Amino acid sequence: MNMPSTSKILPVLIGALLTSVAPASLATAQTVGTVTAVNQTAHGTPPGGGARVLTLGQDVVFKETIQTNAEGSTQVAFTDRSTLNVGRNSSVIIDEFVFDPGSGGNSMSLTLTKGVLRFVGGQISHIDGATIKTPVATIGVRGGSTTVGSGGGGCAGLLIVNNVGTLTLKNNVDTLKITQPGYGVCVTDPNAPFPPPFLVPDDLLQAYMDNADSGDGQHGGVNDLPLDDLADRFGLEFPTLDPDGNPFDFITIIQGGNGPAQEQSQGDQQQEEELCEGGPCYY
Amino acid sequence: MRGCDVRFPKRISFRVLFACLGTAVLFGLPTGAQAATKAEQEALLQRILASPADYEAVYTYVKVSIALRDYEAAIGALERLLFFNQDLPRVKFQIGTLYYRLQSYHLAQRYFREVLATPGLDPVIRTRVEAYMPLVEKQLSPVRTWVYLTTGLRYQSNASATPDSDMIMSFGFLGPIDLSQPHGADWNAYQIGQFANDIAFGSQRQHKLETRVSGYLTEQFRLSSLNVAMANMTIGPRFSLAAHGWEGASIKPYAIASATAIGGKAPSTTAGGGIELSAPLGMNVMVTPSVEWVQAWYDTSSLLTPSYGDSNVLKAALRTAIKFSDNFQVNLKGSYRRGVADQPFESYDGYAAEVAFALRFAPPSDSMTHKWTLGPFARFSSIAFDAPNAAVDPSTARKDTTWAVGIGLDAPINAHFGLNAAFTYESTNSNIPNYSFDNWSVMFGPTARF
Repeated sequence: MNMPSTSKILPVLIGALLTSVAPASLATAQTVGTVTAVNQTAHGTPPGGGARVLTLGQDVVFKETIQTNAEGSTQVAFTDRSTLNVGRNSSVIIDEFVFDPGSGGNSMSLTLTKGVLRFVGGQISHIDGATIKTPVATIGVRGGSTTVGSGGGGCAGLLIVNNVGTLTLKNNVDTLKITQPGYGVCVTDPNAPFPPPFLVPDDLLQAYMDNADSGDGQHGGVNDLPLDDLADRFGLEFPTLDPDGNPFDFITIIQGGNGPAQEQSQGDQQQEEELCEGGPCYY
Repeated sequence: MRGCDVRFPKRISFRVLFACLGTAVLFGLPTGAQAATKAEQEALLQRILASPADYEAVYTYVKVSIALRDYEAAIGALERLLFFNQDLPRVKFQIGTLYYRLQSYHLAQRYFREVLATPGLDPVIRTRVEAYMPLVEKQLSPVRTWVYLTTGLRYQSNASATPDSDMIMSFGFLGPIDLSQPHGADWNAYQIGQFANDIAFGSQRQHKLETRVSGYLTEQFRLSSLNVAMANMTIGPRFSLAAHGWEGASIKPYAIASATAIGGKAPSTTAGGGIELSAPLGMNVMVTPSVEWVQAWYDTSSLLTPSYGDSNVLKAALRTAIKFSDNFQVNLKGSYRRGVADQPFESYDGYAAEVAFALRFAPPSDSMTHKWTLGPFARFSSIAFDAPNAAVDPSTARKDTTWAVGIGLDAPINAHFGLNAAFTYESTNSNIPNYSFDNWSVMFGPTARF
């Protein structure tokens, strides 16, 4: 049997080594979600890696930093069914994502270092709660949905809005719960007590939410746009409203009136019988 | 025997009740169908993660998520479609309705406004959105008022509650009832009015002052001595417990007063107070235990042998609402009350249990904006007095058990007007023949909501 020479083997070994190492390093980067919409330019920077332009359908990994420029925005869908919209001129780090549907102790933590994000919760936020860290406060999201961002519109600091569920805000000196949807706070100082929550005006909220959507002429990275009639084609029904309150309260009320009337009638019948006993009754 | 002859044998009545309750509980457990749907949702999510522009998967995912009442998952997917194309009024309408269901009315309003601003909007969608808008605006107002009115006709097979046996026990002697007096079946015209007002307060309007008033009037066609006039009012603050880590829970102390007059007389008035806790157990179950005390005053001057006298009544109740889907809910109620009067024969213990279903379904026309509801129910109650009433039966303390079953229909035609109807059958068995009777009734009429 003829053995190949060292000069022939070495390049093959080096090549094999390189190809085996590269997938191993990618494999250790845990995939936590997918880029499900993106307007350029948006970059993702995995831990230990270089910045890459985010594209539709691309995996997002644990500890990845997502950054957008003045035109960029993106949506990431996570495996726990939560979604994260990252607005323009923003930077968000996926600090922590532990999700095993079959067990407890799941956790999710994001850091917003600048810009705007909108988070719509999934299984982790519903069961264990999710955390959003910012320079001025840490936001605990229980259930629902929040919009967080800086960028003016009457708030000189960071606007934190509760869209659905309960938010628990903490900074170095204070804790605040925002329990009502539509309420928010403008936070400027991590070392000052939180101001009282206020009902966020629609135009202010709109500005922040628009920031984390597509702008004019942007289509989130798709060429084949969804059209409105798809809703009908795929059977999305127009929801009908539930009637206000319990529609059968009227039965309860009528039953409530029947009791005294029946008692009265039975009492009358008893009385007639008693009167008959004092004299003749003719049937 | 008057009325329907159908009766629930005493021996199986509790079994029937427990069977009903058991069925309801079983519905609450994850069924194979539900598990399959969750598996389908997960499979669709994986499809979307692999191919975000797979619109069939996205829309199916939205439908499945809504069916699972996982509204946030549906919102996330629909907002993605808006990332691709902002000109999707049907999608915006759906998102608005989902935020509405999540009681996020400000976001619902935002999306509805965008839909209404769409040029050339489909008139059907416009009608639907316009039906939502006043409700959203009402919810966003710190002062909210609801009014419900209904009137109609009601037929009872035994409006006078005349005993099945046609016999009356008096001073321990059984004699035939005086059938020459008006009795038996009768029609009436009825009117019901309900008024509800909430005034939100607190730094986030998280608390409410709730006022509830209801009134009920009947005009019998024949048995005018049984005309009913009844009013009831409760008022009290409802404090949200969300800030204390119990989202969706609230506690409400309240004052209550009522007055009832039969045939123009004034047999009873009550006044008192109570406290109730509303506590969600998970996403689909709301449990409401309550305790209530009232002082009841009975004007018995027109009766020689009243069953009730002035008394203190303590009532403990537990209500549970289980929402299996947007279109199917089960309401369970159980209560115990103790009435203590001066006379032992007017003091009593009472128990009641009820199971009621609410089956919501689409109205027959696209132009109708509100669901119709069918509501079958079954109720059991019993009352046992402490001592015999010598004027009735000196040797027997009265004990009644009552079964009632029925079904109601609520059919809104538009946001304000509609129709309702109901059928009920009740059967009371008593150890004293005076109080054993059957009665069935049918009622129907128009409704108005504002």
